[in-house]
Amino acid sequence: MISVKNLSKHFGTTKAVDNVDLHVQKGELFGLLGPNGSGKTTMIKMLTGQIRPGSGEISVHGVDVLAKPLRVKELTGIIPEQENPPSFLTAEEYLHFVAKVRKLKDIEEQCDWWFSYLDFGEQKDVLCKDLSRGTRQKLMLSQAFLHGPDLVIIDEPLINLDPLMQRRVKDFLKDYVKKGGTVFISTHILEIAREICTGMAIIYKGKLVFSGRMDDTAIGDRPLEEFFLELVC
Amino acid sequence: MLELFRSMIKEEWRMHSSFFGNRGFALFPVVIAAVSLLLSLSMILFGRIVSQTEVLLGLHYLFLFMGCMVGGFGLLGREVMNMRFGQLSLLAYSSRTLPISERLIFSNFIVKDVVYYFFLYVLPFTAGFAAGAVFVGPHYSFVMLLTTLFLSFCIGLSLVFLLTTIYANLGKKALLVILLVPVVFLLFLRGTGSVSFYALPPLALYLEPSVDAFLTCLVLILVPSVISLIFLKMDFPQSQKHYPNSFSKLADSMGFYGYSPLMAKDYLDFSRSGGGPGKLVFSFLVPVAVVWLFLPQLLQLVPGLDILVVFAVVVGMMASTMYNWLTEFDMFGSYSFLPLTAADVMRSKLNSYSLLNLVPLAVVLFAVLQAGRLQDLLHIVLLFVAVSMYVVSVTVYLTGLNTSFTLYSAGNFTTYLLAIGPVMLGLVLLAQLNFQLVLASAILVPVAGYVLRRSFVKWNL
Ligand SMILES: Nc1ncnc2c1ncn2[C@@H]1O[C@H](COP(=O)(O)OP(=O)(O)O)[C@@H](O)[C@H]1O
Ligand SMILES: [Mg+2]
Repeated sequence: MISVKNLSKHFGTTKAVDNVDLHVQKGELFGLLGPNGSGKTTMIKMLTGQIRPGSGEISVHGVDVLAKPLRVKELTGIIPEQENPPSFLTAEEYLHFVAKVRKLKDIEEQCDWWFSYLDFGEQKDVLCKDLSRGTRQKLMLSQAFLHGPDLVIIDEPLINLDPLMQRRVKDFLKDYVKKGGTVFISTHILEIAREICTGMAIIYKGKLVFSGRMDDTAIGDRPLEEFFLELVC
Repeated sequence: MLELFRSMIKEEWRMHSSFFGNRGFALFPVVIAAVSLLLSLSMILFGRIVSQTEVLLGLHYLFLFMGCMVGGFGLLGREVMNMRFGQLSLLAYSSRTLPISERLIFSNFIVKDVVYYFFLYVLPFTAGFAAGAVFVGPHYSFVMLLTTLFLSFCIGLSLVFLLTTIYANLGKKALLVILLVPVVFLLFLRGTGSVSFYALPPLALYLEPSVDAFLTCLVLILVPSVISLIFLKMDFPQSQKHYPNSFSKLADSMGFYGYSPLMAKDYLDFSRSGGGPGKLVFSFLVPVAVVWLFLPQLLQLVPGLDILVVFAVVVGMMASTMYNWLTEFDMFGSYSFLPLTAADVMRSKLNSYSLLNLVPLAVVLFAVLQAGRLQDLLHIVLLFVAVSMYVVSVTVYLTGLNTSFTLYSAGNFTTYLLAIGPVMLGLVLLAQLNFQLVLASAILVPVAGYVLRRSFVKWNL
């Protein structure tokens, strides 16, 4: 589903992503882990054609991201790190906006489902700029699934949500994968990965330090934190 | 307090310099000084028909006008602070968490802006102009000119600040009344001949320095500003409002246009931002009214100039600033995860821009009617449309979707001036040779098209 070769991106002297190879199979719930500033967001922006890599190759859905970034954005559901839906539309209008851009019709039912599943129907007629961070994150989650993509790429999905909503989102993602979807999430919270991911990669200072399945023998039964510290120290 | 102010200044500097490097930003005033030097030197040619007092008149009104253009602080209350950068991370914004009143933060913000304008425009302009004058002949007192031009700028700024604050408090219904006040005032002035123009306090102060004149200037600046700050609406609109879904219908009704969802979003952003209609009035109609008032005065100095032609050119250039309004709430980052290219977003902005242009078009039509020159309607409208399209195409090429602040780079600004200045002068001169030659402006339309196509390529990732 996702295949990355020798991917690098430097900002001046900062090596945000440094020569990374990565493969994600269809049907995985894949976690990209790493502390703040390790290059996760940069990685995700390159995967989704939002910024150009310094060097390397990326294929998503079998599409060469460098050659056809729009095609990748069409096929994929993307949730960026900064929850910044345009500010003066209401939440509901924003979903319709995304639907129109993606040329979808009759999305009312879907919208209503999301409003009630993530419990933000009461704010659906409030301007996005006046929404709380958590609600904006819910909105961004909803927009990513409108077109029924079979791959979603999410940057820090749970960061602003309360425990109840985190639970719902985790359940939804697990269910989505069960039905044949593929998920790629980044997070710096290790427990989330342990709980829901089937595969993971760890990057640290732009370098890939581990990549494998969650039940990899190298990890064993240890807390992920211990494994992680061992890798980076 | 002082610390906050210093940090804001630093922040603004870094924001600009991180974009075009320290040099690009630091050289911006140098470009301004060079332009005013040239202007001053051109008095070798024009000095015979324009007297020094008339030059001073022009300069002071120019800065009054600039002040008017940038004085809309009251429009958005707190939002004005971050709208230019579309980021919530600015000090002005985040310092809400500090134990300081928002009013104080806002005052700091305005003073900071004024300081920036002083160093970016007023100081270099005056320096260049005074330096040029040394070669040409008439003597200008540098310190005095610097002071009075700055006062003139501040008066324009604080008056429009007051108007926008009244608007923010009274709401849209009061807009017409608020607009009528300056218009009636201008109409009244228009009848009184040139003497009343010299009553502009900073100008009077330069021509005949006196403590009284100086105090008048201060009162004109401080009283409106203080009133505005007292009545400033920090959160405008105040409560968390609920809106029915008007997006879908709007987008459908614009369906015949390309990019209708983006345009519908532009429209809603514009009309709901509180800045929308107010912006049209205060950042466009009021400055246009000032031009309309002042142009005949300026042009009688240069006999034979066609007022309508100059007016159409000026309005066309001013119209192009409306492109900023469409981009300042947006970053491409808000769209980059959707199947849209930067060029798509730019095209949609240009579509919205062309709709917004109906307002300046109406102004131009009004001016033609007022002058009783119906027979020239086509020429003047063509001229306006061509200028507006050409100038906006240059703006788009140079700045993409970051218009309001990418122009502050010395390189960009020089290119902007060189691409636009000679063309506009050329058009006015052609028209003076023979009015029919105004039709030549039609050639700007395909040129604009070409520049835009190049821009789309340039700004695509
Ligand atoms: N646009 C940029 N310009 C300069 N440096 C950047 C930019 N984006 C990210 N970086 C740097 O790249 C590194 C990785 O950042 P990021 O990908 O955001 O990390 P993460 O998402 O894992 O927290 C950081 O050191 C960050 O400061
Ligand atoms: Mg990140």
